[in-house]
Amino acid sequence: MGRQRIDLLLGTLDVLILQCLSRSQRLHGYDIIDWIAHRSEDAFRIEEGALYPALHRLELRGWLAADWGLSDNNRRAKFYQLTPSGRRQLERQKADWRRLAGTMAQVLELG
Amino acid sequence: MLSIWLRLRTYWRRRQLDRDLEDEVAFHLETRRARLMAAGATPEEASLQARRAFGSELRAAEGLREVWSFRWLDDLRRDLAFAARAFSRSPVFALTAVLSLALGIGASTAIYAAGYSLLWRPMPVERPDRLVALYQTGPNGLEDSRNFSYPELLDYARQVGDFTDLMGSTGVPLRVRWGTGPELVWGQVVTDNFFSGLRLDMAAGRGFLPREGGPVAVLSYPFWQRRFQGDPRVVGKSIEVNGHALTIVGVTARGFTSTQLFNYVPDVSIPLSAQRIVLPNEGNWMEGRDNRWLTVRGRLRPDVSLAQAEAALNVVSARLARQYPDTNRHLTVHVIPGGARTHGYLVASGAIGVIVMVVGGSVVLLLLIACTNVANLVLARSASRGQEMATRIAIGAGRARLVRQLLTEGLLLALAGGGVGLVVARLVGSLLWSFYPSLDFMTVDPSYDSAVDGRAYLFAFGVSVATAVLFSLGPALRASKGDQMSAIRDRRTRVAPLLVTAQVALCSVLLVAGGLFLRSLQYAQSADPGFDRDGLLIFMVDLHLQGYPKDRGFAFQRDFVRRLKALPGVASVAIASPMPLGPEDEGFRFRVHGHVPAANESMSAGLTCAGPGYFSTVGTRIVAGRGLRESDDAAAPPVVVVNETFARRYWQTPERAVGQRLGFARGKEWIEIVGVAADGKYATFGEAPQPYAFFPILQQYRGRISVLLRTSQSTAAVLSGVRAAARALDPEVPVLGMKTIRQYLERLLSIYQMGAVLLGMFAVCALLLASVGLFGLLHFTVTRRTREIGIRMALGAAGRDVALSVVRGGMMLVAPGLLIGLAGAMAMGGLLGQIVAGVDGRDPVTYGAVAAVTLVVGVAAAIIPARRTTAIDAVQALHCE
Repeated sequence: MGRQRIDLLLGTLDVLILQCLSRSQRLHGYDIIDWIAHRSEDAFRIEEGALYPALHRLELRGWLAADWGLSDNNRRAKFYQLTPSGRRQLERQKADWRRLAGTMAQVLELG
Repeated sequence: MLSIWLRLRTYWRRRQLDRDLEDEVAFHLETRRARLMAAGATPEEASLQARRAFGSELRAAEGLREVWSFRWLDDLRRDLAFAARAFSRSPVFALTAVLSLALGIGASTAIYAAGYSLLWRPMPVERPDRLVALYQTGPNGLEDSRNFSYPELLDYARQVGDFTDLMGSTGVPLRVRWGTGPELVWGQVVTDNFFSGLRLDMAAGRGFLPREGGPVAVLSYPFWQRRFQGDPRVVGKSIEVNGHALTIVGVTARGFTSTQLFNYVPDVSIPLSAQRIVLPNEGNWMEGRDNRWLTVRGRLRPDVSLAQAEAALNVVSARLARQYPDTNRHLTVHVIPGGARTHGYLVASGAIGVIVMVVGGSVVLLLLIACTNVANLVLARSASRGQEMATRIAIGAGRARLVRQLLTEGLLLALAGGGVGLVVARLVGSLLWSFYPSLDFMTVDPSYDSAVDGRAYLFAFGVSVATAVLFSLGPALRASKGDQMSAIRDRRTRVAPLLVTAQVALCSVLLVAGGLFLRSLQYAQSADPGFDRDGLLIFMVDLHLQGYPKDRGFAFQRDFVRRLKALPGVASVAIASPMPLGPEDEGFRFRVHGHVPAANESMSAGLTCAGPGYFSTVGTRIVAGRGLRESDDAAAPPVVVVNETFARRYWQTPERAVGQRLGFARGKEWIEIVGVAADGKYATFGEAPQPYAFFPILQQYRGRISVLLRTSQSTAAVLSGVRAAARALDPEVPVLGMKTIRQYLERLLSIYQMGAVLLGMFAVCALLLASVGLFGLLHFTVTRRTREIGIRMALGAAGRDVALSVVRGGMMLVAPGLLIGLAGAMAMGGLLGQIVAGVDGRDPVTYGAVAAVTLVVGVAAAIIPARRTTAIDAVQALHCE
């Protein structure tokens, strides 16, 4: 835990979730957190409890589809997957992020 | 869209949602713990770490719920629960308000549905708005209206290009046999283009084709259901009509009624070309320019207006007048809109308008009274809830929230009222239809007609919701200004008495209308129909339907009467066609020997063809000359008996009329008047005395006759003997609808009964509502004045005086209302007088009775609150604030 952790920017979690689900078929909440932690090399400070409201919000907007099933250890778990409209949303958000990151970098370096 | 659906679904399954959220979180924690333990942590450490990483479970749960929450639904639920609690605290208020609304809404819905069904419901045809009705009038205008002959119809159809089709039809009774014994039904003879011109939907098969020609028939939907259980294979089968086999080619759509107003359904339709097969003794209906039996409907071309079509028709009419002066002079053609189901005379004479106005006006009045009551109740409550509102504002309730709360209460009331109102509507509806005048063998489809349709439902709910918004909004807005409570109180005391007075006024108008109908029912029941109502039986025999030619018909009638006279207990027997005051009436135009008519003098009268002994059998007095005799037959010189009105019009006294002569307008022959009969009623009980003539049936053959039996025995006792007498002469001749003459007259009374029941019901509802309104107001006043009354009692006022002052206060509201109402009814007396028979629209008995009833009910409504004053304990009253 040597590195300092970054607070998530508003809306960041959404794009991370979408990105995570775009790479695999069907995941439950724990797997998603795990994946984000792994990919970001634990850089983000995510309160795990905050993941679920975000997941449900995305489900309500129709970007994720959810269903109940059995996990590997035979427990009742809710699985999420990306919908086609979620995939389009991911593309839009990714583009936005790249632009934001690029612009920020440009501004800061010129600084 | 999706999200609303998901939310709603989740909303109704809140418990499921809560469990799911819990499960999901638990699964997460459990998985984390398992991983940590696998990595070597102790169970306690693992649990602790898992929780720490997850953060606050409570916050997560709240966040989740927030995502799913449906704020306004939650609020609505809370508001509704609160409103229900508030109503359960004042059940009398809630019940009265709901019942008031239910009565108002229910009655108006039922009347709307009935009126719609009888007058406006379009037939199941394409573009019913393009259908018009045609009729023509002679020189005397509306009183002289007629239908069209087939040659005329053809002329108009060929020479006027404004219609895609001109269709003709006429109703006829038909004897139908299919499997079981013969059945008499009401049918119609129509032109070949009747169904195609109406563009009527068919439930099965087809309508008639152009140049149909063959022996075919179309059945009605109710008949198809009744006799064939709706079997579609019936198309192509054959059915026996008047003894001739006709092929069924189709079934009309449900909801098809005849092209007349009101809802009789012609069960069997036959094309005009089959008339000579089915009704061989009635001549050829396609011939004769003045053989005007066709009711005509037209379908206007899309780009043609009513006025254009009428003008074009009258150009042709003028041409026909030149071409055929004998039959077509002085005729004007008229076009009436809404022609799918209409009745030229009733529409043009404004009778329909008057009925609609009186009934519709009563509905509106009742609804107004109901709404006034609710307004009054809501006002009273909002005043007494001032404390509550002030408290709620004090503890921080938002104004909008308060308004919404009150609106919710109003809505709940209105919806409850609307719901109960639909039950009331059903009850009122079936009651109304049970008074619908029916003819023995005519089909009315009550299952279709009494159904409260979707629009009536919407109408009821629309009215109830509007009422709620209207009446809750005012008090809600004012009540929300908690600091102005005193203003509300003042306003209430100013408005409420006015409302009560208005209610009494509206209510007395309805009472007068109901009373007038009752009086006219009374009149009709006691009016002299021109014959004796006791000990007289009547039934029908139709020899046309059996295909009897004239000579065989004469023989049958003579032998039949002879056999009937021999039956035990039968004093005398006579035949007549058409019987006065029956469903059919007939008229003729005449000329009078030695009389030159003025330019537009109406020379027409009603007529009956009657057999020998008719007058003595039915009990009509002969005031001069003689009645009809056996010897007045085809071989003897033609004779006629006229009534007193007829005789006095041309010869001043009955005695002078005997021996004078008259003739048919279209004949050369003179007919001698041999007798004068006392006046009677011939078409309705309400009619003014009118000229009428009785021709000997032996000189004017009729196949369809009414048979009259004078006997002290009951219908049941005589029926088998009558049947046997008919069977002995011809087993195929059915005896139709035997009944007492009182039952026969019920058809005419039912219209008065319907009016009396309908308006009477309205009036009673209105009276109930108004007395509830008065009671509520006085009750409220006494409650508010408890302290003042206490002081007066402490100062020595007698309890009785105080109570009397309350009753007097009530009467101060009732009396002016009553006066205004009676004056209003008086002003509308002319209108009311038009639809009631034999009663003046300003009948003093009715007005007196209404005044008495209103005052008595008013006092009764005031007595309960007044008595409460005597129970007020002066000391307690002074202490209570």
